This record gives sequence, structure tokens and C-alpha cells, in this order.
Amino acid sequence: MKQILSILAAVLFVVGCTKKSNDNEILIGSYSSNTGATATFGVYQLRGTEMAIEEINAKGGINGKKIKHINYDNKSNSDETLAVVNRLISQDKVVAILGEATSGRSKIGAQVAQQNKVPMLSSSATNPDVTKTGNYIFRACFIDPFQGMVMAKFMTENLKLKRAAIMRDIKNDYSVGLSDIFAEKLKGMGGEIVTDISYQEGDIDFKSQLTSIKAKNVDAIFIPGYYNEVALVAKQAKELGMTQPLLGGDGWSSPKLHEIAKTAIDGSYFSNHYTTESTDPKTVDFVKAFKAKYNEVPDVMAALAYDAAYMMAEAISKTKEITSENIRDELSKIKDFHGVTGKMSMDANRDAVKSAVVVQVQGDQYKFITSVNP
Amino acid sequence: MQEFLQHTLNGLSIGSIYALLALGYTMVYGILGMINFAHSEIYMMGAFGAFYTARFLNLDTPSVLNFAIGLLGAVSFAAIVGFLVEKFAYKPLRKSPKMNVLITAIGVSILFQYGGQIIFGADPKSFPALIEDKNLFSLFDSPIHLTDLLIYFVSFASLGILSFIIFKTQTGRAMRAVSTRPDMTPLMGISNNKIISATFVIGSALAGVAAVLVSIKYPKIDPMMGVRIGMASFVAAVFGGIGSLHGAVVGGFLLGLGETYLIGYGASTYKDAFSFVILIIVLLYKPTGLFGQTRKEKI
Amino acid sequence: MKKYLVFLVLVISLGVVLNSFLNSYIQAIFISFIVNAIMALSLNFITGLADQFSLGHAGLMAIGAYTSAVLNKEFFSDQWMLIPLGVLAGGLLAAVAGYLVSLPSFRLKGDYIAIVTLGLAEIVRVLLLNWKHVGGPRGYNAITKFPDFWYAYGFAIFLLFVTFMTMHRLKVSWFGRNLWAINEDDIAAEVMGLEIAKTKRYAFTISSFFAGIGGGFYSHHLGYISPGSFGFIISVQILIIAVLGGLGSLSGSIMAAAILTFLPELLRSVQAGSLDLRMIIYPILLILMMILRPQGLFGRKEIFEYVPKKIRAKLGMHR
Repeated sequence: MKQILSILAAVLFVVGCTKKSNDNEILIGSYSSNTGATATFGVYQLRGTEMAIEEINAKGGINGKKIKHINYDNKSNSDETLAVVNRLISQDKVVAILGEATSGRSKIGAQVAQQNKVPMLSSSATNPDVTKTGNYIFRACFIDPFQGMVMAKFMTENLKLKRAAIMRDIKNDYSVGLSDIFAEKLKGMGGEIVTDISYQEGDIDFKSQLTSIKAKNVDAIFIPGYYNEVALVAKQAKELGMTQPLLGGDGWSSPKLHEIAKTAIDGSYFSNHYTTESTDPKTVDFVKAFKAKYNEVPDVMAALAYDAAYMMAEAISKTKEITSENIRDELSKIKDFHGVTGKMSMDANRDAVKSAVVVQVQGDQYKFITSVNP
Repeated sequence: MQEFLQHTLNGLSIGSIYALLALGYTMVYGILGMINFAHSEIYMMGAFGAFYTARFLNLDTPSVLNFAIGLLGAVSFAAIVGFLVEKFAYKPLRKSPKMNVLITAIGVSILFQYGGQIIFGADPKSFPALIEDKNLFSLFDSPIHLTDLLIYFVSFASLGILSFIIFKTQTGRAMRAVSTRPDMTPLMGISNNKIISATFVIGSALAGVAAVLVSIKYPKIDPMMGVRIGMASFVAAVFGGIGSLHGAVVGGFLLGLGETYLIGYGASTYKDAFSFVILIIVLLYKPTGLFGQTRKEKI
Repeated sequence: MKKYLVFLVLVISLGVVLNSFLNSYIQAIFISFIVNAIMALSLNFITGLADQFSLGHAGLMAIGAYTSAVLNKEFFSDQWMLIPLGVLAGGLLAAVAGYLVSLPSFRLKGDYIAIVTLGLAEIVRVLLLNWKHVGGPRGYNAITKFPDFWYAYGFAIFLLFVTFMTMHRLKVSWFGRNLWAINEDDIAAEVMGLEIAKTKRYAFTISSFFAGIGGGFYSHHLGYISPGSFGFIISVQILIIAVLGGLGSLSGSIMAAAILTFLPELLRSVQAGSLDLRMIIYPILLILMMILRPQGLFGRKEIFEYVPKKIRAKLGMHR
């Protein structure tokens, strides 16, 4: 019995390992956290990617060749990330990789991709370190230093406010990074950080932090976290009778923000890639198609992943011969790419240069207030 | 001073939630001598039970009736899940070493968390306002809501009712008997199975009630919602003296206050560690917790 | 002596196969397997042999990982040849932490140890989250890796070998016998003159040392670590491996680590869409095992105890 099992296992292993590569297909891999602690990011990242690739294939693929998309779930786990990126490269022999949504795991994947000289395009990792890993690593979003500056500028120049409190999600490097930059820039622009207090993703009660902030005289509260917590913070701030505007980053961007916070978040501002008021047909079509396919409105992770997939396809379509090196070159040359999250170009550091818009939440709409260019 | 009083109120408010959940942990430990790691997931199930009940019956507008229905949905779902978990995962292990049951409990907990992500979806859902969470009055410039009062009321009422059941009724006596000498109780005509199932059902129902109240107050639910709150409540139960109902409640309130002061006065980043630091300190001086009873070990 | 030679030959041939015929994906999984095996062994030593339930091994792993990573980057200027030194330092620091933890803890009864160790892992995680110097939530990046698979492989096998041999020697020695005695009946053991608390402390310190070694090596395998990589779920994953192999069986831990590292990767080819059902399968496996076969694969015995006596005599094993 044991022998039969071991033979079966060996056969499965060999079968699993050998993949016949189809010359008429372009193999693109992606890794995302479809389950585990950050499952929401992974699921939306995957949906955005899948939808984009489906659309591209429906229109004939890239120069006639269809894309074969291979996605692996890293379970929000570092070990898994290492394994799956290695697998995509060595086993599945993908020509390029999309991912990941978070900076931490992107760093792990980037090291492997760089070592193997396979181009990697992250849709939403905002920590500057990710692209510093090497010249094969790119990102389709702005980096923390830019976004932090955006809100600091908005607060001092548009709202003309000076004293800010920061509420940072200590567990989240995106939040920590943005908070640090915001603090630095605000001080440079003549503002003052009155208090810097933290919470953790998963928390539901923020009264202690808010009570502490309330006792100090602040003009605005900068809370660059994810919508899951921001929604509850807004609600509780209102309950405590606090009237200061809340300011945030693109982590707010999700229909759930309004769903959970309802009117409590109205009047607050955050920096985003696009506004729902956008009459840009690309954005409008994207939102419609996503809703039709998944029965839910897309969030920023999905939109960025969608753009990243299209960006990758564009780069590949421009190559004379599909090799990792050529794809890398074309990615670095991307200029004025028109995505659903705006127009972007790749800079010398392989970070996407794009404008940010500052929007105000009004019900389930994000109203355009101003845009900030890099 | 104002700030201190506000923090105190916040702390008591959070503490009452911890107290309610801690009661569940302590009850099961008291009877079975096991830490029901899955209690936090039963709490989560209660929340989803109410959520889907509301959705299925289209309970859109807040009203006392809708609140009652939602509560029923939560309590039934939580109680059923608790009952099934006990019957299929813990009962087979009643004669096994403690470690095995603990490991199983961890398994159940993880299964529900990740299973929940797959079945319910990992994204947070907006919990319906089953009852209007009115701002009733203000104390020290801090608004007191209906749900705050309800949670306090339910924690103390539960403490009272549970104490009454355990110390003044026949069933309670049976429970105490099962916890001390489960080998002798069948001889006394007590069905261990029934008593243990009853304990689980009561504890789970309590978790269900807590889930609804908390979800109305903080209207966001997701499959991982029990994790942090469960851990904190559990720690509260342990340092209050696991097995002691009073200990659970006192522990819950103390922890709530402690965490709140910590956040309010500047060390917010250490909140997670706080509960464990307190726990370790208490255990060093009183190894069975504040109100815990030392069990005499017979050779 | 002969059995060691055989072992060496096997190891080298495996290395050749891995390096020349299989790709970096399988190589990476193999190293992960070794890390898992070392971690499972370290947990098994305290939970299986000494019957003290530790839920905090992720914390010890974190101490080892961060120590080695920081040491290598800041004091050894990223020299890969000094990785072993960093890993050793990681193990030592973890051992110190383990010893300090064990000082007051073993006065507590059974379940409480689990809670306290869990708490300590959480405290470690929170401290790391707050320590800006090692990156806080951003984690610690660009950790040196071995430049070539052979070095990583060689070092990994060496670590696993040392871990296993040390623990096995201890298990069959008077120390192991003491542990067994405490395990079976601690009151009787105390009556016989065994210092229970002291023995448990030593066991925990040794277990912590190896957990630190595992963690240290892990950091040079991933290249990036963050407090998030060392949460409670990691302690649970290590526990599942130790339980599957059999609490008390060292070779069981290694086998279980192999199964639980390789099998999931195998199954990836047949996964249901993009839904990874592993975190459903693992807990179910755990629950079923506890109910149906709590001794895991090998119980307290080692794999060679199942080999018939005649063959064992030939190989020179006297047990």
C-alpha cells in the first residue's frame, strides 16, 4: 500500500512539475494574499488583474498571443511568498510577474525576481525600498514620500490649518511610512504635529485615542490607514462630538468606507488616484464592468492591479521579442500610460509618476477638490 | 481631570465587553478544565448569524422588534455552533490529556477563521443598525449610548444569573459536581453529556448576545473579528482567576481600563503586549489568578 | 562510523540532485523544509519530551531571526561567510530569553505555560513592532543570503544534523530519562529526587536555543523579515508539524516537516481555482488527528525503532 502511495506521489510530483509551454501563450504570473490576514487586499488585487487579462485576451491578446495568467495565493505569509515567486519563475517560467499589494511581501518577491532577472510590477506597494531592490522591479503606484507630501500640502495650503494629530496604524508599514513623511513635510511647511498616537488594524474601539486627541487643540486629524478602521474612527469621532476634518491616503478608497461609516465620514478629505466623479470613460467603464462581473464596486487595490496588468501588457506588446530583458526595458520606458487610476509615467527609480487628487467624501461619492502633481 | 474621567468611562465600556466574553471562557474552563480557544470564533459566528438573519428577513429599519430578531439569530447560531463543536471536537477527547484538547481547540478556532473567510468572504461587512443606538446622555462630556448601557447591563446581569444558576440551582450543583468529580457524577444520576452541553450552549449564547451588542456599537464585522477581542478577554479571564465568574468580570474591567489608560497616556503602541504583561505579573504572585482557587492535587 | 559515512554520501547525492537537476523553486522549498524541521524539533523537545506546552515558539524564532539579521548587516557588513556566526548568536540570545522566561514559569501548572509562552511571543512581536531601529512594521530588509545553493544547502543540513543529534543524544541520556519521568508522573519523580523546575528550565533553554537557530537561518533564507512574519499562526503551524510527527518523536518531526512542506506544494498544481484550502485542511487534519490518532506518526518512538532488530544490529545501532 505504502509503495503504491509513494509511486502515486512521485507521479503527481512529476506531472505537477512539468508544464508544457505553449508558444502561442504569454505566461504572466501574479502572487496575492487571497486568504489570511490581508485577504481583502489580495482578493481585490486578483480580481483587478483577472479582469484586465480577460479583457485583453478577449480583444485578441498581445500581438495575437493570448496571456496565460498564473496566480498563487501566498496566504498573507512570508514563507509562502518566497515559495510561490520561486515557483512562478523556475517552474512555471513566467516572463513577468504582477504583485504584490503590500510592501512587505513585495520586498520578498522582489529579491527573488531581481536575482532571477524577471521583471516584477507591483500594483500598490508604496514603500520606497521595494524598487530599490533592483532594476527589474517596478511599481504602478505613487510612493509614500509623494503621498505624504500631498496631504501636508493640502492641509497647509488649501485648508490653511496648522495643528495636526496623527493616528497611525502601527501594524501597517504603509500607514507608518505615510505618517512619518506627513509629519516631516507638515513641519517643513510651518505646521505642527500636536500628538502622534497609534492603533492597530483589527481594532474596533478608538475612543481612547480620540479622547486623548480631543483634549489637545488640533485643527485636523491625519489618519492614513485602511478603510476598515478609518470608517469606525470617523463614526466614533462624531460620537465624541469632534468636528475636526479627517485627512487620509488612498487606503481609504473603498465603497466600504461609506457603507460602514455612513455620514460620519462626510466632509473628510483623502488623497486618491481618481475620483468617482471622473467622467473619464476608462474609469467609468472599469467601475461598471467590475460591478457586473463581481457584484461589488471596485476598491483602489483592484483599480491599481487592473492598471498594472494593462501596463505590463503594453510593455510586452512593444517588445520585438518577448524576453524578460526586453519587457524590463519597455516597462522603464512607459510614458503617459492612461489607466483607470490616472496618467502615469515610469521614472528613473522605476516608480510610477502620477498626479494625486485630493477628494472630499460626500456620501458614496468622492468629490474632486484639487490635484497635486509630482 | 476631565480627560481622565472620559478615559475611565471608555475603559469601563471596553471592559464590559471583555467581561462578557471572559465569562464564557471561564465557564467552560470551570466545568471542563479546558481553554476553549474557539470561543472567539463562536462570538464571530453569532455576529454573522445576526447579520444573515437581518439580511434574509430584510430588517432594514431599526426597531426593538428587529433587535430582538437579530439577537435571536445570533444566539441560536452561536449556541448551535457551540453545541456542535463540543459534541464533535471536544467530547471525543474528554479522557485525553489536556494538551490534546487544547490543540483541538486551536484547530477549531483556525478552521472557523479561515473557513469564515472563504464562506462569508474576507472583506468587512457593514452590520445593520438593528436598533437605534441613541445617545442617551452625557457624562463628563462623554456621550453614553444605548448600547453602552445595554452591554453593562448584560454583563452584570449575566454575572448575576450565572452565579445564581451555578450556586443556587440543582443544575448548577450538577455543574459544580461535574467539574470536581466527573467520574462520580454519573453514579449520582447526572448526565455529564447534558451538563457539559448545557454549559457550552449557555456560554455560546452569551457570546452571541455580546456579538450583537458589539456589532451594533461598532458596525463592522469580518471573520477575524473575534481574534483580538477573544485573546484580550481570555487573558482577562485568566488573570481574574479562571474558573471564577467574579474573576472574569473583574479581570475584564481591569483590562479594559488598563488598555485605555495606556493608549490615552501615550503608550498606545504597546497595547497588545499590555494584557500579557499584566497577566504574567499577576501569575507570578498568584499563580491561579486574582480570584482563582488552587486546586488540590491528590496523589 | 559506517552509518555516518552512508549518511554523508546520501546528503551529497541529494545535494547534487537538487542543485543540478531541480530548479530554484524546489531548492527554496527544500530549505524551507529544513527550517520547518528545526523549528518542529525545537518545539517537540519542550512540548513532546518535556510535556510543557509552548505556544510561543514564533517569538523565539523572531529573536533568532532579528539577532542574526541585524548582526550580519551592522557588525559583519553583510558578509555571507559570517552568516553561521549570526545564526549562532541568534540561537544564544533566544536561549537566554528562553531561560529568563522559564525562571518563574515552571511554578505554573499545565495550561498556564501555554498562555504565558503565547503572551511572551506577543510581547516580543510588539517590542519588535515598536523598535524603529530594526524597521518596526516595515521590517528588516536586504538581509544577506548565501550566494549559492550549495552553501545554503550545506549549512542547512549541518544545522539539522546538529539539532537532531544533540536532541537525540539528550533524549537517550539520563536527561531524557528525567524528562520522561516528569512527563509520566511528576510527583513520583520529585519524590525520587528530581528537581523538576530545574530540569524543565534546561529543557526550555535548549529548546529555545534551537528555535533561535531556526529563526536565524530563516532570516537569511527569506532576505526580509518583519514582526508580522512571527505571529501566533506561525506557532500554530510549527505545532501542527510537531503533532503530526508525534510529540516525543524527533524523527517524526522531520518526517512531518517534509510532508507538510512538500505535499502542499505538490497540491498546488491541483488547487481548486485560486482558493487555497490549506488553512482549512490543516486544522481539520489537526482535529482529526487529535481524535483518531493523537500520537501522530511515530508517537514517542523514533523511526528507527520501527526497523527490525536484525537490520539495526547490522547498522551498529544498539537501541
